[in-house]
Amino acid sequence: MGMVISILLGFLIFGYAGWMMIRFIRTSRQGKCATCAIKEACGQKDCHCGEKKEPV
Amino acid sequence: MEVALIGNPNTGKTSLFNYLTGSYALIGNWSGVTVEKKVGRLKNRDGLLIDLPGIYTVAPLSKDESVTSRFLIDNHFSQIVNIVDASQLERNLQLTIELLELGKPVVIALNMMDVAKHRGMEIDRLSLSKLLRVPVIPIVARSGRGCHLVSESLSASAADRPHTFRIDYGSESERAISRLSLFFPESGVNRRWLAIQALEGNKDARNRIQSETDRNDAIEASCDLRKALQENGQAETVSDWFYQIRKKYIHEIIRQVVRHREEMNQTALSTKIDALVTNKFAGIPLFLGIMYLIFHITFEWIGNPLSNLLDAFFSGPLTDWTRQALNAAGVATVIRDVVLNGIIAGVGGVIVFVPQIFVLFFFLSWIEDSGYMTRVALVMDRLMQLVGLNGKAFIPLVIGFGCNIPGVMAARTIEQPKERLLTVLISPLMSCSARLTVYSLFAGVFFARYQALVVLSLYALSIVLAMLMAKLFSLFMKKETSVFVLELPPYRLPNLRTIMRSTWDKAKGFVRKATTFILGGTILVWALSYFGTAGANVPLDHSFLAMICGFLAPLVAPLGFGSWQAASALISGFMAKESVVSTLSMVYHTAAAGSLTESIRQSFTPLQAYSFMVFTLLYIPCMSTVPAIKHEVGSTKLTLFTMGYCVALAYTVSFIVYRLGLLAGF
Repeated sequence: MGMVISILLGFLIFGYAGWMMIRFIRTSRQGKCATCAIKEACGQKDCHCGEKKEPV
Repeated sequence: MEVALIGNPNTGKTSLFNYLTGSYALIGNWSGVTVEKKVGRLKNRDGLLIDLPGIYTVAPLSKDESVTSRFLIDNHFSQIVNIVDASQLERNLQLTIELLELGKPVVIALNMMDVAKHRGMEIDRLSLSKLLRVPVIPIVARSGRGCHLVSESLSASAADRPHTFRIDYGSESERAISRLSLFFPESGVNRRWLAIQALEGNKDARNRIQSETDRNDAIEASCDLRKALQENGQAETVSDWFYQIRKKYIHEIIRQVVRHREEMNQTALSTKIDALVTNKFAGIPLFLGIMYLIFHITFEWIGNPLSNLLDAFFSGPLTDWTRQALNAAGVATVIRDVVLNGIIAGVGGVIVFVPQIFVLFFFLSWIEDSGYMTRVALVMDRLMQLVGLNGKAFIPLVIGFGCNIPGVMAARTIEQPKERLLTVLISPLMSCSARLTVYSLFAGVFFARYQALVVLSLYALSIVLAMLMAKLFSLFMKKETSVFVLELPPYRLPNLRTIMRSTWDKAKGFVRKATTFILGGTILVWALSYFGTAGANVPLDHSFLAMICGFLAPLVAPLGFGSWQAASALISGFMAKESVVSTLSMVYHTAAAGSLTESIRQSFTPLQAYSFMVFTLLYIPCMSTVPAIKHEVGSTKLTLFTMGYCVALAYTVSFIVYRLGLLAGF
């Protein structure tokens, strides 16, 4: 029984941790959209926000 | 249906946006909070609402204003909601006129009616609507009053009813406008409007002229018109002339729609307050005093006592109950270890600082919403000018105290490219809220009676070093002249609902971050600390983590914290600064010590702790900030340079602090 619970917990913990790391690396690449306050309600298809990428 | 939300800076666009879309975008009582467009779905309607950076005129001055200008010219919207500050009607109507000339259906949301009333202004909105020939809806966006009427006024069929509005700019100007109109394509944006914009010097409008010959003709027409206006003594530039004509038109409107009740000297209190807070001698000390008080309340009065209770709970009852439950379930040692020494110790070590985060953000939101923060930018202008910046650069830096990413992006409000670049380069030195967890931990353990002072010293150090680095970098850049023009928003009693919502969101965001990727990082660090060359469940000093970080420990030894544990915490801090604390929680967690604070107390001296905090303050921007920097500077080399100089600066300053401290006998 202990082994079963250990395996289940192991999958949960390490699976969740691994998924969070992958998502974090993907989100970091998004830069501004990752921290955008309305990203969940955003109606934009991509994150270019209507402007070309211009350096300072 | 796509609706553009446009208005002067700091007129309540984002408040109205939040109301109409049911979302929550960041609001602040200062211009420059919104630096790019945000698109939200309209609540209860089928359509999109686009919140744009505030502008005074369509022709852009800064990079964020060009977002709005280009958006209007690209023409991917069907109607406009123009939000107008009722208490500043004359100035706001300048933009309204330009928007009406565009020919799209416009709804005017007349905001801050409460402020106008308070100033003794009575506005006849029906007459205003009749004169401008568009709906005018009075609202108070902060409280949501009247906002539902704005939503109801939006109509999918509005685009089929183009709006005609025209001002006569005089015979010579009209000739130039007619001539330039022919250069623009017939279909698409209103040609007359584009011609007016091109004559005013709007580069985005001029770039719409397809042929180069025509573009040159357009510039020549603009020059000819300017010469004619100068010769007639009418104006120095075309945009001055257009401004004068619009102003005359607006004055006539105001004469008919605005009535002043008694002469109320509403500005007396604001002026008295400003005389004090923007005083050239008292301004900065007053700001430092306010920040000290905020830190004092955050750490010593509220934050640390609550934090200690949480810490005691996590390391005491929660750990014990969990251990008992896992033992009873008979789980394997590795699982027990990851839960107790990984998750509870690691993530718990970060979550205990939620009280500090909550309280600090509450007060920062308070002073932002009151209008004081813009005054601070004004006061800092003198100092900033010494290093090649102007006071406007202070606003993105202050935003960086919350999170460096929006701080880096807010640099777009700065008109001059050199100042913008400098601001982006020094933004990572701003002490973001994630670093607060490190200060809370060490200051709480080693400087219990002087926590506020210690934390204030770190914030002050970051600002001083940012100024020094800006001065150093500016020596390698071409000199530019700039004019510092900043709108001082009215003082107002902060809206408690807005502040609580902002604070709650930040605290929630902090907890969410801790239970998502910080948890992920913590498990990774735990795995490295659990396994070693000898297998699993090895002593900490023989783990993979100790082996890897052991190579780095000698490098940071001169800074006072030459242990592999401190090195491992700093490496994990590249992922997210909160991870510094979660890693310390794991690597210093021993049964003998009990809580993390005890472990830290046994492993550092006060001087070493301060040196560690200084290093954490300054070294490398986190993994999420790096792409934001790259996006703004547009160069991988500059981005790598930013990361590199931050590490070098952190090393140097930490070294100096530690060595001087030793010499002084600490």
